Amino acid sequence: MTTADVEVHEATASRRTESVPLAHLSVELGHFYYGDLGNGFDFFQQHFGRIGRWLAATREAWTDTTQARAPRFSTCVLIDDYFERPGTPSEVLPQLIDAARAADLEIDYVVRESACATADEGLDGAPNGVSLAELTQARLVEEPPRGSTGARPPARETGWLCNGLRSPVSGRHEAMKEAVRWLPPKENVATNHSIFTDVELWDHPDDKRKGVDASADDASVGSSAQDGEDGEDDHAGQDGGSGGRRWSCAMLAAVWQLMRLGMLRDEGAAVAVPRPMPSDLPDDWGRLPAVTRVNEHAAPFSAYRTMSICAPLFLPVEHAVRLILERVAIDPDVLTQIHTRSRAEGIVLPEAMVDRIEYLFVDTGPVRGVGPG
Amino acid sequence: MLVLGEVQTAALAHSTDMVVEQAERLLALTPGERVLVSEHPIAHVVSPDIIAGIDCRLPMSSGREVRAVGTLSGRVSLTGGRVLQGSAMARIEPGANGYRRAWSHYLSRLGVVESIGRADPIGIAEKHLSADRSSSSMGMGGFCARLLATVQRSPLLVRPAPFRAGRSTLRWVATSFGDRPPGTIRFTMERGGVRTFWLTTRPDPAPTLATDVAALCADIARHDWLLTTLISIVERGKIGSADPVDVVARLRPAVDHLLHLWMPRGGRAETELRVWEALERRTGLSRQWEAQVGRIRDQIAMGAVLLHLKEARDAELFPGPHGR
Repeated sequence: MTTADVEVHEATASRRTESVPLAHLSVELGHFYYGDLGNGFDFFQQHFGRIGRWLAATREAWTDTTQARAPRFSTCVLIDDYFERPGTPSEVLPQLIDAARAADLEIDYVVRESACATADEGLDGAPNGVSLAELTQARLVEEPPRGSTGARPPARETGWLCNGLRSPVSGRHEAMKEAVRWLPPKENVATNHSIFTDVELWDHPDDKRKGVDASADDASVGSSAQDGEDGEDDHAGQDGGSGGRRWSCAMLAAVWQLMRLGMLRDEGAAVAVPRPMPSDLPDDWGRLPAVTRVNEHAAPFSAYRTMSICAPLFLPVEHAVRLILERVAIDPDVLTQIHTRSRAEGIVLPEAMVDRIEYLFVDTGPVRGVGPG
Repeated sequence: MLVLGEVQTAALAHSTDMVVEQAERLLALTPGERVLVSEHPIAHVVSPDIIAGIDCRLPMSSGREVRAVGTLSGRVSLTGGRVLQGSAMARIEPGANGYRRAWSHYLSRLGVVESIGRADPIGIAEKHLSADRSSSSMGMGGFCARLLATVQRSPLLVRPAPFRAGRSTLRWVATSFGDRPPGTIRFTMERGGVRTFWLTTRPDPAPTLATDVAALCADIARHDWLLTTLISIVERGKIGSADPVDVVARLRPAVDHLLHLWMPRGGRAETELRVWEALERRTGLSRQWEAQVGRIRDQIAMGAVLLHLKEARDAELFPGPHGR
């Protein structure tokens, strides 16, 4: 016998990352809120009738620029069952799907917004128990203002994320004897002038104290006690996880983009895997899969790039979505997988994930969007 | 290529050596991210990577500075349920533009810091290794300390720790240029306890080189810390002056918590074995460890013999009813 090199692998010592099927382009045909979901068949038909030409243009543009021989497009809609409970799936979904077909469009996937926020309840006996919003929040890397070293502890978790330095004005100074000079906020990477944006990621609607930043110490690194300068506002322990936390529309829409780009994993495993539409539609949104495959011949739900066709009303939300996504550090293994596969298909993707997201802001008819909540 | 790194090593402030399952929970610092566990040749648990954004001045040995923007990549590991290490590293690359780019650019290349302005890589490397314990390039030391503190504050820990131990610092660089030929290693023990490690690599190093060097440096730092900690326990044992039973009692934490952790070059790559061999030849870390271990075992053996002799003598002087 000759000696041989022995390779030993310990299963838990390696990071294996599941890959997910990918279409070329995921096109969002609508993001429907409570106020619009009750409008019935005609409303949907008008909506889809108006965006049909933009979908056609989107497909054509993709095929022209990539020269892909067999382009893979999938379409999807997002239904808000998180902020309010619309009519039941058995009422809403047939209307939606039929209205799209009446306008010569096919909805491939229907996604529940609450699936972005709460843990998957584990249909098919496959519980995974993760909140995709929490996974996303855990991957946020705050943008450092100039002068920040690695020694700087991350800002205490306030539920707010911004693109620069906040104006140092707070309610506190009014009580102080000395006048605090107002200073402007400052965008970190401004083009001459700042467009400073501060995005609320979550709140605690049950918390009656106005202006209180519920301090969530979660497992985040370094949210240390020493930077808790607002002593009187401290009520740590109220949180302990995301109990009572209400994610913002912008945060959930950011998660929605990450799902569509196939970027999220839980301990390396794929999340919110699409499941076929139940033959009997449930009366409870919670019993519908997170991602329902309506069209069994559809291209994969996740894609190299995304296009969202939506009303200009959604621009502020999408601006916030981009701000969030610019600060999400995607698992490098996932990025490499996607990069390798797209290159094998001859498709060149922008380096930064946020640059793979496109929009068409067009008139989609009278949309109410999200209410003042 | 220029990679800067730092490792800080300390004892986990926990009353017992932590078992693997508990260590996995301790180091689960990011929801949805995996904790890596390997149990052979020694239990070794590693946290997910923790990313910190920076935009600061990066000093060079000439006294000049360049602006540096990007991310440091850090992690925490626990070995043998006792040795806690916080580490940070960053690959320094020249930025393509003379200005800071959108943050998404830096997040698409985690662990890379881009220099803005004219950077002298050797000068950056020299300055990184020459800084004392109180300062560090890009706040790497502060980042490591913060990572350690995050774990040491965990509610999973039960105090007090069974022995006192200091925190050690090892700073390292890997460069593919400079005067020294590829494969050269310079390991120094600076005053004040800071160790430095400089590896000169080939111009086209393997992509995994940075993480391999980081692992090797963590390995070296761990053994250097073990030796330092053991020596300090032996010193505090007052061998030769105190009562042998007291000496043995003072040496006991070493036997209970440290002696089994010495495992240099544990199942690592060929190049790392060579580095270890070279280090061993020059520093004699293992020889010194063996000598200390021998000393402890001799004390215990002698203590046992003395106790036995004392009992025997006592029995002789005061025979009991069943004596003889």
